Formats: sequence, C-alpha cells, structure tokens
Amino acid sequence: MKFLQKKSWNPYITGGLIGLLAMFTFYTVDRPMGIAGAFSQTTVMIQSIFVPEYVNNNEYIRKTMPEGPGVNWSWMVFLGIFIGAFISSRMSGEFKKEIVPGLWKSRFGSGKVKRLITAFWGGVILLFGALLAGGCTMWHGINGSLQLALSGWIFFMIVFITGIINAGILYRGVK
Amino acid sequence: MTGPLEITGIPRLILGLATGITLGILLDKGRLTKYETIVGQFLLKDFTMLKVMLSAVLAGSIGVYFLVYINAAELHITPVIPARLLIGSTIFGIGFALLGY
Repeated sequence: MKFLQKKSWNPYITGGLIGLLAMFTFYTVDRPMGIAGAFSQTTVMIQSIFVPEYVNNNEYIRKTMPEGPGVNWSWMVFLGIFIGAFISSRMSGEFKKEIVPGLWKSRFGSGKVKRLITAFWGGVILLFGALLAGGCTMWHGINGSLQLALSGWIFFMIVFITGIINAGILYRGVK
Repeated sequence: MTGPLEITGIPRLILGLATGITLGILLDKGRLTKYETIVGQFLLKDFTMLKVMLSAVLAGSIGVYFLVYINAAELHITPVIPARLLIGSTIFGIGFALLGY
C-alpha cells in the first residue's frame, strides 16, 4: 500500500488510469461516469421525503430520473469519490481542514466569510451550468470527449476558455 | 442500460461504490482535489489538470472504442443541444474558477 502514501502520482499515469476506469464502467454497467447529476439526485431524494407530490408531478425530475430519485449506481459512485479521496489524502498525510486555500489567501486575504460565500455561489453556478449543459467535467469533459462526442469537446473547450478568462479577472495583476 | 453483464440490484450498487472509491483515489493522487491545481490551470501556471484530463481521454478513447469494436460495449453520446450546451458550459467555467474544485 506504499503507493497510496504518496502525495501525488504522475499526472499522465493517473489520467491513463481514469481512462481505464471509464472503460471498466462501459463494460460493467454500460454507462459513463458522471458527478453533477448525483447532486441534483440528492436534492430530489431529500425533496421526496418532505414534498413527495412535487417530486411525482415534476416533469424535469421524471425526465432526468426515470428510475426515480433513489440510490443507484451513479449515486454510489458519487458517494465513493468522497470515501476514496478521504482514504487517499489520509494515507498521504495531505488531509487537512482548509477553508481558505493558500493561493486565494495571497490575493484576497485570509477572511473566511469572503471565501465561503464565493465558493458557495461558485458551486451553485457550476451545478446550474452542468445541469443546463447536460453534464460536468467527468461526463462531458472526460467521458464525452473520449467517445469523440462533439458535445464533450465543445464543453471541454468552452469551460477552459471561460475558466481562464474568469481566473484572469479574479487574479489580475498577480504574478 | 444494465449492460452486457446485466449486473443489477445490490451488486450493482457495490460496484458503483468501488468505482467511486477508485475514482476518488485517482482524483486525489492526480491533485484534482486541490484549489491550487484547478485555479493554477486556469491561470496557465500549472498544467496538471490538462495533463490528467487529456491522458484520461486518450486512454479511455482507445479502451472504449476497443470494447465497441469487439461488441462488448456501446457508445453513449450526449447529443448537442446548442443553446443549452453553450450557455451551460460558459456558466460552468465561471463557477469552476470561483469554486476551484
């Protein structure tokens, strides 16, 4: 298990292994991995406890979750990511409770509230975009692109362009 | 969409969990769980994210198309809905740079 204690692996090898994992899911369960969908699935799972009638009558939910809002393969992948990343960072000693990342601190100071509000709205915007585009970095960016899907490559390129522009604005004047 | 192996029920959920744990380890070892990696990429100072993603695309492309070639898998192409895709990915990129994860 010594390889799990390393802080990071060679990016090309790590990427190659993610590609092999994609191949594995196509073979075992006949579907690509996605992450963003599991967030809205979780929301619907909570909604179905408190407002089941809303969930049953909502056309968007019926369309995007034909199996219903229960726990399925995709949701277990989503759960597993947290566990896997936790195990990995604990074993390498990299795990830490961090609210303000170092790079952010160098530009915007160590204020927690500013960072938390930005991260929260960043997450809201990101998920809204993912649901609108029909996928996230995992679904479109990696699994779409590897199938040579036009939607995947368009997503990949636009996300990079807008990400570069936005980070450039956020960190303008910083060397 | 149960796949040629027709794995259903609890074994399918356990398989999903194992897949997710593996993915979580890979994302962490690929440093994609760090703010500095994501924002560093968009600031064009750290190309880790692009290296990992393009390697995944290359390896996965060869792997998945091999499976399709031997009739062991099918493609799952998401169709292009121009307005949704363009606006959605633009919004996604903006949020991604703000959140940094």
